[in-house]
Amino acid sequence: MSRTILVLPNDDLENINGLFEIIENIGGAFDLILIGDSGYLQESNFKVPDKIQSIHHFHDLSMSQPLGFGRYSKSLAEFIKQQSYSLVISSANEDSNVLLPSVSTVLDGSCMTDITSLNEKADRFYVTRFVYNMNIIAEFELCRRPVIVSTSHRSSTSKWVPIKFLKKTNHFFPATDENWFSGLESETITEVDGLRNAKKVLVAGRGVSGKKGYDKVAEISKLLNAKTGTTRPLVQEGIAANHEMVGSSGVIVSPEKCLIFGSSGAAPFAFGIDKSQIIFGVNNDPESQLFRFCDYGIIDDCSLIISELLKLLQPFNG
Amino acid sequence: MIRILICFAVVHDTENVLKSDWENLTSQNPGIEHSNMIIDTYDESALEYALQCKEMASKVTCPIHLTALTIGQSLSATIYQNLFAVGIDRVVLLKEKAPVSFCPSRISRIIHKFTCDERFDAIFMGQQNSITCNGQTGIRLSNLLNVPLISYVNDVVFINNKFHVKTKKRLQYTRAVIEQPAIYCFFNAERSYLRMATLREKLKVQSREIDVFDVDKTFDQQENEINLISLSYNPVTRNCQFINGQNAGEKAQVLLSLFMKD
Repeated sequence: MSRTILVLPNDDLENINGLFEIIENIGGAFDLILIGDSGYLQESNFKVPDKIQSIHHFHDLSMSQPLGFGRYSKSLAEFIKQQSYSLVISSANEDSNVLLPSVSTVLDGSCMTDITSLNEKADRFYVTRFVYNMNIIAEFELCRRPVIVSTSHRSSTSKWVPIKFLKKTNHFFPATDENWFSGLESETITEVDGLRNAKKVLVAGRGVSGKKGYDKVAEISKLLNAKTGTTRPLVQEGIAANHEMVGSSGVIVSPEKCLIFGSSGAAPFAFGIDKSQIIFGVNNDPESQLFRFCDYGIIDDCSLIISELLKLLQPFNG
Repeated sequence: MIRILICFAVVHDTENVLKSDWENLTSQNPGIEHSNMIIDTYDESALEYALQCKEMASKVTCPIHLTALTIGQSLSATIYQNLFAVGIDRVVLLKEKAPVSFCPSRISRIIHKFTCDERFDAIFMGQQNSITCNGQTGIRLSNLLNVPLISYVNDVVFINNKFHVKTKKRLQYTRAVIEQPAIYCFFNAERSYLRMATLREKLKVQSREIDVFDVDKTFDQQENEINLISLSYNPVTRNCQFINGQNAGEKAQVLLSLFMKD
């Protein structure tokens, strides 16, 4: 049975190596489909693991598809059908989680995004993923072919795994006129980048007591040379900006140190901080879900701890 | 008249479910039947933005009619009366006895059938459901209807009889004017709460009823593309060490020294 790995324009090397790691545990040979022309994809020869038997590169002269994937999904679906791929694996990101279900619909297959594991038993595919607001892990059988999945597995290395060189076969997406929208404008969000890549992050949750509490957390962040994030309730109350929200539907942070004040520790929020190396949490409820995700915890009133931290940091102010 | 269809799911409110409740789940049932049923948070954004568009349209000559649609065995009066009270014109329940979780293909085909019978200029929905987390219904519906899909919608306004959309993806906002019927999937939207109805608004609509249609039985007979095998509790990986002290000052001092340690 033919299988393929799909590499999308915004994938980085951690994504690609993560996919290479996943296929090590699955039988059969794989093809590699590269999409787009950015950076490392431009090499004419590509280093790949032994399991990869051929590379197909889909070039696109106008990669900006901020509003839709219509033409990609149809072209890819046609190619997947032509090659009789029974399994398609991609990394999970904002693009693949829209593109893959769309391709699957065209092919009438089974699709699951953000899977955490993939197993093959007796020619059947089983996957796991988080459900119920990320509190539960569910196992599914994907019954129809092709099986199309995205995974959030990332490799710890951002270098190529050099095994062998393969020459690519080039393909081109057909050019089409997108006339269903007009006045397209884009704006880069710089603040999110700062939070996403920060080495130290402080997060203000609902328990910080409103705008004053949030401002104090932001002041501590400044003194500690950290970035400030927040949880959904503070964004919904208009206290913090939308782009500061940490969690599965906001920014996923991975700092060396993450200090959280007054969050209940709801699973979607926990997903956003779980990649932190060391997590500190402050909450006055000893039964709070927050402490499930922390390395160090303080059971106390958040406002008191925040005030004491500010006092301790005053000598460094100004 | 512009007609907007808003698709919404009624789901368990998992915010108030205790750890011990999750641990009691069986392999096919999460065991949280006692929890409140609410409109899914992503769909709340879709409903709120539809109401805002209706308000914007009322200031000009082109009125907007809002139909809210859900699929399931029943719909509580508390939910639908609140929808009427905040300004939804019509609420539709497509009655389906079979479980509707984890069946994105079937759900999208059921909605597709409904939309083929009626004409809509825009379909609003949450990009994913917080219970199933599939995020596939809008995408599949877009393919079935052959209309564009706009995902990661962050904000929508209705100006000069057109929808002006803002999406947020990775490190980028994108704005555009939509020229054709389309599906708008809301994700991490700027206004994520559905407004509350006043008592006066609720009293005004208390006699209104929803439209109920039975789902065609042929949808149940088709094989699902996904089968749920089992559910298990998501275990916690970190072992929390508590910082003790006589008062908040002492605890803050230990916390700060640990946080600043290289």
